[in-house]
Amino acid sequence: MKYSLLKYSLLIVACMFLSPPSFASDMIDGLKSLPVQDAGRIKPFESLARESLQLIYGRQTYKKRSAAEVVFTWMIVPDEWDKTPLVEVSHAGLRDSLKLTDKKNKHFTPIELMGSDRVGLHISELKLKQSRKEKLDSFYQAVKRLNSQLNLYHAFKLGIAVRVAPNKESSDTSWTPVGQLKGAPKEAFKKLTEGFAQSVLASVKGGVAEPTYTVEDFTEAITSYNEGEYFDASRVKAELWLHKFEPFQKAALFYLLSMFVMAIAYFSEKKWIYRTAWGFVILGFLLHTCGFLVRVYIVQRPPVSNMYETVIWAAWGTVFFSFILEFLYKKKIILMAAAFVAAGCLLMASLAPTVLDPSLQPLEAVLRSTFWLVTHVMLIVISYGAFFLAWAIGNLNLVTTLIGEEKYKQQIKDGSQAIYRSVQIGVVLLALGTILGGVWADYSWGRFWGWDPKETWALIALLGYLAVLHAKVAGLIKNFGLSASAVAAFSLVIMAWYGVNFWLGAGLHSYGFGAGGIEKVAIVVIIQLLFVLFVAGARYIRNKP
Amino acid sequence: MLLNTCKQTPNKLMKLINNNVETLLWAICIFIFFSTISAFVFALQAGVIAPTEWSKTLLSSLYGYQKGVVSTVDIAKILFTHVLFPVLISIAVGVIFYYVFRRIKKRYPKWFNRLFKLLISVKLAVVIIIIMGVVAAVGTFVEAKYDAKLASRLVYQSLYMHGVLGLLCVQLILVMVDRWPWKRHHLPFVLAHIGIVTTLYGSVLTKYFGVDGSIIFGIGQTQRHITHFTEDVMVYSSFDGSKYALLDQRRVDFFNSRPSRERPYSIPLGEKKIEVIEYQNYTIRNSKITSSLENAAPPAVRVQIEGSRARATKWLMPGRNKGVDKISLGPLELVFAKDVYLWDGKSNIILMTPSRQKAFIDYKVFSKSRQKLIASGKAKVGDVVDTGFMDFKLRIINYFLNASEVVTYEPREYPNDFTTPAVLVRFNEKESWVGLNSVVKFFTDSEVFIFSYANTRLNMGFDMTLNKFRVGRYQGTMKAMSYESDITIQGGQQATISMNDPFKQKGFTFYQASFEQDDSGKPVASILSVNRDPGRFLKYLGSFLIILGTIMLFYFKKAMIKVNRIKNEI
Repeated sequence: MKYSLLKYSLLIVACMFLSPPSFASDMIDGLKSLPVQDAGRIKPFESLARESLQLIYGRQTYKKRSAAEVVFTWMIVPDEWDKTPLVEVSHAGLRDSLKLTDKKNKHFTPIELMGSDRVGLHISELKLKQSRKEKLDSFYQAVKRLNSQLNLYHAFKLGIAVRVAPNKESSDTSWTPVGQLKGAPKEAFKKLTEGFAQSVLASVKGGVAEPTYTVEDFTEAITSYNEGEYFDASRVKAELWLHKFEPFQKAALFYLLSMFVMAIAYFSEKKWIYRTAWGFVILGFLLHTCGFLVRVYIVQRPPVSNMYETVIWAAWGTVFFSFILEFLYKKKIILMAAAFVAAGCLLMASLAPTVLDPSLQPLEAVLRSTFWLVTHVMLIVISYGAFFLAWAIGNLNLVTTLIGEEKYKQQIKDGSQAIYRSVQIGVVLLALGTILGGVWADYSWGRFWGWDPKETWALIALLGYLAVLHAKVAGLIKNFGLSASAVAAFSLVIMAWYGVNFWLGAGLHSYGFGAGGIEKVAIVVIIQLLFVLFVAGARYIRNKP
Repeated sequence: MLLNTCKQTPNKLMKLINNNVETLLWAICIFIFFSTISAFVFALQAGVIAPTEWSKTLLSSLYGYQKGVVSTVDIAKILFTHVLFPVLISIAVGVIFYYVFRRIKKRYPKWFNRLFKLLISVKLAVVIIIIMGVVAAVGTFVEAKYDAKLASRLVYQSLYMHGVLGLLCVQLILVMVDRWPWKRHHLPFVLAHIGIVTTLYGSVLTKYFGVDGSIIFGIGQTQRHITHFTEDVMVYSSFDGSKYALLDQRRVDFFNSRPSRERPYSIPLGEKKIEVIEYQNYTIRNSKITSSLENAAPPAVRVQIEGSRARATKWLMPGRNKGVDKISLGPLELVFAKDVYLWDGKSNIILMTPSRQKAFIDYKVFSKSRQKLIASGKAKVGDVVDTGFMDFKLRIINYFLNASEVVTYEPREYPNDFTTPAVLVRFNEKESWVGLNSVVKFFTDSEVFIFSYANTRLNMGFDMTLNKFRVGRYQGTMKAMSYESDITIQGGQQATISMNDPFKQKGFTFYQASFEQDDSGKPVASILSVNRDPGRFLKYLGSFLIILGTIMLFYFKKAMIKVNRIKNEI
């Protein structure tokens, strides 16, 4: 795009690096809604920009500038960006081996990385490993990320990363990228960039310019050139809304509020406090549901195909089951525990985008069956929600036990009853989901049970909770044992849910595999198990005659 | 005394019946349930009731059979495996344990009663459940470190896994026997336990009577055989080198019964014998092409083709019979032919043939767009030829007019996509490695023996041809959205098999599993998995009962705990 904008580029450089971050915000907001084709679907430019900036820079904003603004200027003034520390290399070992000058900083300029011999060397080693289908260690995972960072940045520079218009002449479904546009679409896009440049100009001068050419004008031009609608505007808008409104973060805040209010209600007899807590949790739940439904609308399928989506859905399940149990038993701690779990899940989902990838991806061929996705995957994940609830109440019970088992006898008993019920709900749903998974596998692969790691670990988790239920029914464990084992057994769920995909990385469920966060999750699980042991030990010593 | 007993018998019987009304009702319910299902299946199979569309679907999906191809033997088999055998076994086990342990257990030594008490205790149940979980977990780690095949053989299909599952079955049945006569609140517990036993029994049927294999065919090819995961060795012999006779065929399991030099696996051939003396689970096949003194040996050339769009380096060696070997690069095909090769005009090709001058190769470049020969000439080792087609350059790296291929297998510790199992075979003091799905020849003065080590091939009884294969991609990407195979069955029936939409024929079910593509991403072959699962119905029935039982637990929880409390107090 450089060629058409030479006269503006200097000015844009000036604005980019001198002006306050909020410059030309109208124009930027307009650009965000530009429909682009990327990764097998049509999305607003905002999504592409956020995902690209996340990959390359490691965050979704660059020094308080919006992703759309930054990414758009990569195409217009690449020479300036080449000299800016932009590419994040977070793996310390890789940074050392690259022998770049500034070791303290995590970000490097594209120029120094692309010019480095060692980068090329590592990438060719990576390609060799990939062709041999070897498992990549964390170093080569980092090289793989660096490779895709550089490729993507290069694609933006060449103007081939942003595909904005369908190709009328070709039967191919891929859209034409901005760098290869011809005829009317090319003119239209030129006008759009000029409009962008002019509003930048105006903002440098201190005024606000009315955008001369908006994204609506551009899409109209493409539509008329294409003789028909070429994208679903309402779905693009819905996705934009999701970015702007961030319903899950807001839901998390309401859940947190509700948790604190419920904690107050726990020590007070006043009914209105209890009702306020209910009110907050319902508000959070509505936002949560709303965000989920919008994602359903955008991708036109149940969004339960990666870690991020399952975390959101499991949290929804936790709150949903707590509603039922709280309504039946009115124990306060049920809702409090659920609000804690849901807030934690939603915050984790929005704060760790490298591990929990929020982008909406098209489904693997084998998963393209909405019926089975709804029954098998959603049932299993929502059963994790029920176990999550049992885990949280179990922890509360353990803490109460530590403070005073005799004094809070009734509370512990109430908690155990809730744990028992939620484990029961979880077991039914997990059994049903696992068996339906078998039926789906039978229907789609031709075998009912094949000891695939994912299905095996789902079975192990099921067996774990079955052992807990049997032990409780037979009187082998009492209230304390139930709480402790509900907490400990949740490690099995973590293994089935997270461990198989992020740690084991084997088997047929490979479409869900990911990387990252293993150490943190392992530490949390170990601390949790140590806590259970500690409480059990303390209790044993205290009760010794 | 005797008279007395006789007189009392009717009363006793009436008392027994009166005391056990619920038990009898239970027995009748179970009997009606099983006989309704079996009667329905039987009537459908025999054609007594008209098979409606849904019942046909049900039948074929559950049993893998289709109406019209089911013989009386099949029906008898189904009846025996699905109804008669399990019912008889359960009744026998039930009656024996009920009478032995509940009625006259006082006469047995103490240790016997203690064993029974242990077997029906919930403590043991918890222990078994935990052991199962631990064993299964070990299996997943083995799979992550090695592969699924090893995990299955070492853990999931091992003796101790079967032992644990067997113990689980025994306990499930004994606990049910112990609770006899069952009351209403036993319903969920009985259903779930019967369900688990039924499901496990179904998987036994699958394991011993089922078929689980795959078919790989290129586009346009016809297949009649399923490749099964089990392994066979076969020995053929020939006197003239053209006609081969099968001498011996055996099912082998070298993984579990490993051959060694001390204890070889021996196949007698008259006075001589072929011995398998070593087995390696993971080996890498290395082939080395060398010059051969034999005049009939085929030529071989190692070429490198390089252009901005694609590059490849490869040995090309036409077989003794096939005469042609090629590299496909998408826009261009590189063909090495022993003698004559006719260009069909449908692709751009570089044709190489051995020249009359010994060290040279003749090459010809044909263009599809211009429909003619655009370049030709001679080249020797070390030459680089500008093909004139795009910017492709051809380099001759090595060339033998008569070549032979020496294959070795190098053992590896861990598997990857290229490893294969291999065996070391000895014949007349000569030793040779044979990889899975390959052969080795042994020569004597008068005859040739071929030793083949391969996956079992099952004849389906009909031909299947792959007409077309399509890959649907997500817009603007190479990411596959769907795979579809268009096939024709012998007799003209056509069908499309796609992901999540299998096809059934003569008891086999065909599933779209995967596909193979060439370097340019064009699909070249389709992979179907094929199966026949006689245990399917029982597995589904069992799963249904398990779910029903667990859901019912919600309603009966209080009763269960009450009973247990009373028991604990006693």
